[in-house]
This record gives sequence, C-alpha cells and structure tokens, in this order.
Amino acid sequence: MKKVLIIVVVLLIVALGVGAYFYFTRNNVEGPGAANNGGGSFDPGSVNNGGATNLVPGLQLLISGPVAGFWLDETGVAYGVGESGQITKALPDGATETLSTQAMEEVFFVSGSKTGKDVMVGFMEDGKKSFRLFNVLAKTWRTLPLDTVAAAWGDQDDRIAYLMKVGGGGGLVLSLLDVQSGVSQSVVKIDLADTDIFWPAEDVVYLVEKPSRVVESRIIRVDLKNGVSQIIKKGYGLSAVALDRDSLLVFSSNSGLFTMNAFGEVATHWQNIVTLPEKCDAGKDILFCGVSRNLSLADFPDKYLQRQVYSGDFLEAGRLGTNNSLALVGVGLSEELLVDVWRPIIRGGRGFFINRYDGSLYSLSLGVELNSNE
Amino acid sequence: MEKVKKFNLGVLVVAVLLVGGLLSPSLTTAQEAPNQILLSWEADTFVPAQYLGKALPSTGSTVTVYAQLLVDGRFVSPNNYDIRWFLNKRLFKEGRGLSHIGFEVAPRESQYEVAVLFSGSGNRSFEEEVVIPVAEPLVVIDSPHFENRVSPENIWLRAWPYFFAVDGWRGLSLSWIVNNNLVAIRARELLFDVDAPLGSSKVFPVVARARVLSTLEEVESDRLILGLKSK
Repeated sequence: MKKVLIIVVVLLIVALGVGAYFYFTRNNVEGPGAANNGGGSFDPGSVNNGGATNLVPGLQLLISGPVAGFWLDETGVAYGVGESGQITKALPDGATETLSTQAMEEVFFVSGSKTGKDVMVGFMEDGKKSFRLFNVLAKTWRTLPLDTVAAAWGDQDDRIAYLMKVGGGGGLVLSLLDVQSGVSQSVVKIDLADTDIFWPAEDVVYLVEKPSRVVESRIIRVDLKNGVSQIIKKGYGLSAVALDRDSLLVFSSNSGLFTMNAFGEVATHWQNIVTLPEKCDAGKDILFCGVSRNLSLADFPDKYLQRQVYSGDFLEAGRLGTNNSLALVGVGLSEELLVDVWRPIIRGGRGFFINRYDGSLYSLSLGVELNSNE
Repeated sequence: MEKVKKFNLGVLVVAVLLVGGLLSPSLTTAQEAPNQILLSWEADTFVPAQYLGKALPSTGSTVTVYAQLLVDGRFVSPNNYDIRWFLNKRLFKEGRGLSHIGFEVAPRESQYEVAVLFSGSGNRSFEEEVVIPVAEPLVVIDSPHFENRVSPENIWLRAWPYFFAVDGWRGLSLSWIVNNNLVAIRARELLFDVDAPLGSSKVFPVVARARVLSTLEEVESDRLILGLKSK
C-alpha cells in the first residue's frame, strides 16, 4: 500500500514539474509588460559626426547619404540605393560609380540577391507600393508583379517569394517567382494583412506581421513542401529576421532580443541588449549589433521606427549560443563617432552599415574575422 | 484486501494517465499545429513608406479585419463556414464564407474589440477576438542631431506624419514654426540658419504642423527645443 502511494506521489510530482516546465517554455504568448531598460546612461564624450572617418581608424565612408539600403556582392563590394532610387557602387579607392539614375519615390526596401548581381527595390508609385529588380551587370530594370506588397530572395539568385495583395479585401497571395523565366507560381491565398516575408530555405517561408508595442502580432512558419503552416510566436512589438531555415532573430517589447527555433523556443536571450533585429547581422554562430546606449526597450520599435528618437550605438559582437553577453568589437568607437546602426552586414572582418544619423553607408574594420554569410 | 489492491491499482492507472496526459501535449505541440483563427487587420491611415511599423487606425479611417482559418496546419477556405462578426460585443455582420469585414473608425472611440465565430458542419466551430487600438494622428520632427544640439548653419529637420486618415502626402500640408514664427509652408523638410530670423538666441523651439487639406484640421508636433553647440 505504502509503496504504491509513494509511486503515485512521485508520479504526480514528476507530472506537475514536467507540466510546469513545458508550460513556461512553450507558452510563447507575451503580454505588453513593462519594458526592461537595459540602456544605461549615455555619455557621448567628444561626439563628432562630420569627418568621422578621420577620427576612427578602420572606418570608411563608402557612400554619402541618404542611402535607403545597400547590399554586397560576392567580392565584398558595396552598392547603395538612394532614397530617390539612384544606385551607386562603392569603388575600392573610395570613389563611387553611378549605376542607375532611375528616379523613384520614397524607396523603402532594398534587398540584394545572394551573389549580389541583382537587387530588389521597393518604392512608392502613384501612392502604391511597387517593386523592381535591377541587374548590376546588364544595368537593366524589371518590374515585379503588380500589387506586390512584400518580397524576399530565396537562398539562390533564381527565385523570389512575394506577397501580392488581392483587391476588395481579398487578403494576400503567397507566390514564387522564377527570375529567369519570369513565371510565377501561386502557393497559397491567406486572409492576412500587413505582413513581411522571409525565405531562408527552399522549403520554408516565414511571415511576420508588422510590429507595434500596442498590438499583438505573430510570426507564421509556412512549410512549402508539405503545406503545413504554424503560428510559432505571438507578442507585442514583435519584429524578426530569419537567420536560416530553423532559426530567427527576434525582438519583443516584453523580452528584448533573442534567437528562437522554428517551434518558437528561445535559444539565446540577451536581456540587457537594447536593439532590434534590423540593427543586427548574424551568421552561423556570430551576432553583430548596434546596441543602444541612450534608449530603453520602451523606445522600440514604435518611437525608433517613427524617428522620434535616434539610437547612439555601441558596436557589439558575440558568438551565438555560447553565453548571453556580447563584447565590444573594433576600436573604442562610442567615444569618437555617433552611430545609429541600420541593417548591418558582416563580411570579411568588416562591418557595413547605414548610419541613420547622416544616412550614409560606412564600413568598419572589426579587428576580428567574422562572416555572417558562412 | 483484494479491494484495496484494486483501489491501489486504479489510483496507479489514474496517476499514469495523468502523467501521460500532462506530458503528451508538451511533447507534441512542437510538431502539431492546433486549429485556430488568424485574426489580422489593417488600417488605411497614411504612414510614410519607410515606416516598418504597424499603421494604426485613427478617427475617420477604415479598418479591414481578416479571419483566416488554420485547421491541422492548413489554411482553409472559409466557404464552408457560417461566419459571424462582432464589433464591441455586438453582432456586426454575418454570412457564409464572410472572411473579412471593414468599418470606419468613429470619433471618440479609443479601441475596438472584434470577435469572429466560424460555424461549420458537425458542430465544428472556432472563435477568436482581437483588440484594435485607435491612435491620434501624430507629427514627428526628425532631428538627427545628438541631444538636439546644432551648429547655426544648415540646420536640417524633417517632419513625418503618422496615422492620418488621408490618401498619402497629397492630403496633407506641412508647415514649420521656428521661435514662434511661421518660416515655411508646404514643406516636408526644413533647412535653415539660425542667424537670420533668430538673432543670438541660443535655444529655440521648433514645431511642425500638419494640416489635413480636406478638413483643415491641424495637428502639431511636440515642441522640439534646439540648442546651439558651443564653439
């Protein structure tokens, strides 16, 4: 009798323990809780933005702003797209070459292909979103299908996944475009709105609803092979970039920055790092971010994206998964240059980024060999 | 004695089932996709194209709400379901396959509670609700100057309007007030020197004002206090 009771009690304890563990680790819904202020104080020291390249060893001004977005080719050469559509190549000697003067209004999206031979540019045309494709070698433009509202390169140069808005409140259609042939294939129609897309692997697409601190949004994983879709994360202020097939770099108002897997399970959580995924670049095992020293989590994403505030950043990098801290890389940059890092790319030991303060494209020697595309 | 044994065995079985019951969802949720409704929405308020955040609704704008059914991990057509929509707990619309609704934001509403109920054959029903906050139109002065300290020449500012119920930039007129003087109209950007209009003032306020051309309603930004850098 006693033995059985002991077994029952043990089983119940195990059940409660395991149940509680899985409840807390798998319940991914987050509330709009208090922000964690990890910003700390901000002593700018001798901040100097003009002529910064002279002050900081290893820092290069590549393209003067305003640059809406940039990309790198396979050799590490940088190209920028201006807010009005001009495409510029940064030459090794510090000069620039203009590749296209095609005028565009309010460029809001720039995404280079894997090899850097093509770039997608999103801009406004007659008050509507429009997307075009520019080939660097041929210097020619092509138009993506009308009513495209979001697009992403696949892991090769030959395909693009895009979301097309259906008129009359019809939601979105997820389609795949073969760049060579120009043939599109519809995958699925979804009654969904205000969504971005990432295509990190041939068989997986992530849909990320646009963020706000006051709105709960979701990250949805769509398996293109078996057609199974799943909401993998819900949260307030949720913003994400896909790192690879099964992992994402995510920000939420409640938690700050973390990586998670395809099931929404948190892998690494940086509690005291105040930044957004769009201010970071990550490779197989490295993370590079512009980390704010003057803002708090409460400023992200709304105030920051609305340009109510600027972030004076430290440049920090670390190994993913090894521990929860990042270390400052390069020179003591914060004392000498005011940077607000936007969409950085790490390549060959250099960090390339747009500085939101002046809109220009810079590259900086990191002093360590880090590559996000390995 | 036999009864006690049976009782003990029963308790053991219940305990094992309980353990299994608690464990099994945990071990399977990662792979299984629960049936659910994705309730998403968009507002037709104007935000700058570069804004990556959510466009929030404001008075006079139209909100479209979409309901997407996800069954066994598949996006399912709504056509086989009777769908009822509730706005602030009152029935708003209903119909077979009615997967989206639209409504205009009324004055003085601070938020909307939208709920949807899908009813299909075999008593299969799904429901979901969402709270949609209503925002005030906002004008932001973009001041890329650390601590808003500037040199006296070539001071550059931009104004960004958010959440206005207008059809793009053409529905708005932006003007600038520096040191309480109107210095520019119909200008998204302002480039100015402080010497000419301001004399030797070291600190001066700037306000950007957005006028909705269709209603002449005006919204002002917060006052931005610029200070001259000490040389």
